[in-house]
Amino acid sequence: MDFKSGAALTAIKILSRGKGIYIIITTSSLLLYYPIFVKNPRITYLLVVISVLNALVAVLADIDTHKSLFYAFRICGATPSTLMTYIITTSSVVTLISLIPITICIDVFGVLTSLLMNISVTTSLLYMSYIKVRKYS
Amino acid sequence: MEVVMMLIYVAVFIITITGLIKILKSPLHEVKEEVVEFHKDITSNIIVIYKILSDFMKSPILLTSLLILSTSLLLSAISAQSSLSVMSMDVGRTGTYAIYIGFKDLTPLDEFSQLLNISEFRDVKFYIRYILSSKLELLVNDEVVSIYALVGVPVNYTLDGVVVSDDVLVIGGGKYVNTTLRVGNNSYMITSVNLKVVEDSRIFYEIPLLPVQAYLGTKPITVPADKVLITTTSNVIKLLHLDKYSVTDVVIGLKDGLGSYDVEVFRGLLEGYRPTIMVLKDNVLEVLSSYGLPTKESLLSSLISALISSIVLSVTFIALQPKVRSVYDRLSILGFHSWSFTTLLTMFVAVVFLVLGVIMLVIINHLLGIYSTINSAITFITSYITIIIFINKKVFNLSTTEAVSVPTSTKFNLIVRGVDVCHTLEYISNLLRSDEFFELRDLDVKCDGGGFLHASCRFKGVWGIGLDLDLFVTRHGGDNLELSFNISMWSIEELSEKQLESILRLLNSKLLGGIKVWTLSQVQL
Repeated sequence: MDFKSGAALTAIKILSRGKGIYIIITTSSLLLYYPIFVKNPRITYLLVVISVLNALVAVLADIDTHKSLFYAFRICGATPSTLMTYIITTSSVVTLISLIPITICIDVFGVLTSLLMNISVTTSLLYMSYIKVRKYS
Repeated sequence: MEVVMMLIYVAVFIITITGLIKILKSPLHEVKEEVVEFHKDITSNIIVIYKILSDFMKSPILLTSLLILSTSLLLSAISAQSSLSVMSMDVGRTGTYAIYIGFKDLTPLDEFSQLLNISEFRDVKFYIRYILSSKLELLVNDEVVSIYALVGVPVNYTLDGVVVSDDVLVIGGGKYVNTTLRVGNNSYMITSVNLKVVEDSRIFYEIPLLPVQAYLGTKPITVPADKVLITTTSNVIKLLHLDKYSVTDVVIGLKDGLGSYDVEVFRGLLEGYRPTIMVLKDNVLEVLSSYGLPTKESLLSSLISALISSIVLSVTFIALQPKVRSVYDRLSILGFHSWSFTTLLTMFVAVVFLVLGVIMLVIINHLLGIYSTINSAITFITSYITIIIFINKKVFNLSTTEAVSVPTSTKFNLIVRGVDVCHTLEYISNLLRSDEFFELRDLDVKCDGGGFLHASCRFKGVWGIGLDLDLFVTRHGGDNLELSFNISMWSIEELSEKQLESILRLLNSKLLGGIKVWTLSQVQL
């Protein structure tokens, strides 16, 4: 699979115009309070769970836009590489922002767990949306 | 009486016969018309409501929202903090600087010494003031002495001139002077001291040496001094057969003032053992309470949790809107009112969240304590009220009429003179090709008696926006041409009408201005 820069740029443009990215930036900024001011090791586990939920909700917020784009991809005859580039770019941007509060905790295990879970959840959600669009078109 | 009964029998007989005759006389084929009333079956409403609710119950979005709420409550609970409450009072000059820690029961030293860093202090005295569960009987000089409490003091503690050591047992009263007593394999010297001296002895400000049984108002009622055995702490531990070195009272003497100390050092001790802790600073006695107060930081963290959960839950429920709309569209055909649909779903979500919230608060109270519960309760109440109002007003509030956005388009006609159809169409095609804002994707031109042009352009400034242009050219009164433009905008994203109109104006100005200039130049030529 080769990387399609056009699809990556499209993903970033769609994200920048949607609600999801601003929601996750807001919630991640608010969550920064906990690793900085609350000295409790158990906070890390909760932050991992919350970051996964935040990433999920950030993708859900713009799911209609993503579905429209998948439909446009189908019409334009985009290759699977283009589609996967779009999905992975969207997931990566959302995941990177959602990881900020956990990175402050300086917990390598927490960061890796969150990274893996966020990428899996967001990629799966986007791919399932694509499958739905493909099924009904 | 018999006559009355006879008359009743006759009357009943006549009525019965009359009825029978009537029945026999009526023809068998006669059908009476009955008015059948339509009974509205209430169970059908219940079934519809159940099906709607079960559909939403199985929705993964609702499960996600429950998970979000639970996580935010836990986050708020874990970040709860409390400050120790301290009560100060002036007790007059005592010249003493000391800390007193009184446990409710015998507590092993190795368990709490780390919490307090006892090794840092030089003058630490351990006491045991223990009331026995059953009396201890000692045979002293052929006399049975009943002991109800044991008091352990530090080695070389002086009581009415008697120095308490490992081989000395002290009893209040005047009976025993240097009497030997054998307990197990050990020999002890029993000595008596003045009852009053023992009763008035204090290990700390107002803390008596003798163990306290009860309080009469503020006055402590201690075990009688002649029923208490006083010895060293180590001896008491041996007598009680304890495995670990345990104490009930600790007095830490601090010379040359206290310096600066923070009550927070006692937090671990207070939370773990709930002892009585007093700090005497000459004339000021501070009593620390294990019941803390929620701090400002705690309140802030609960509000931040509430804000996060409100934002995330709002977005989650917005994702439910298409499903809500599709269900309602089907139900509205059957006559289901929108207000009852809204109320039903809002109450369903409210009840589910309330049940989850109460369960979470009970669990948090059990696992993390009251301060965490208070924090979580603040988070729950704030986010609960916010989200219920939001979903009632925005998500589940549906109306039968739906605002349909009209696609942005424009139609206008131009009358030009002194030019012919094909040249006009060619010029307009060139205008479209050279436009700096739009990229021409598709062009279809037909030119015979009249003319037709169809163009599809993509807006260069923003991805996913374009327009379709249809132009009809017809003859209008001799030498004139009528140009009928029909331009419609499209976009992949949902942009406002204002944004699309501003983009449309770019093409309009290009077409109108370009055609105007061109026709003028043609006329001059």
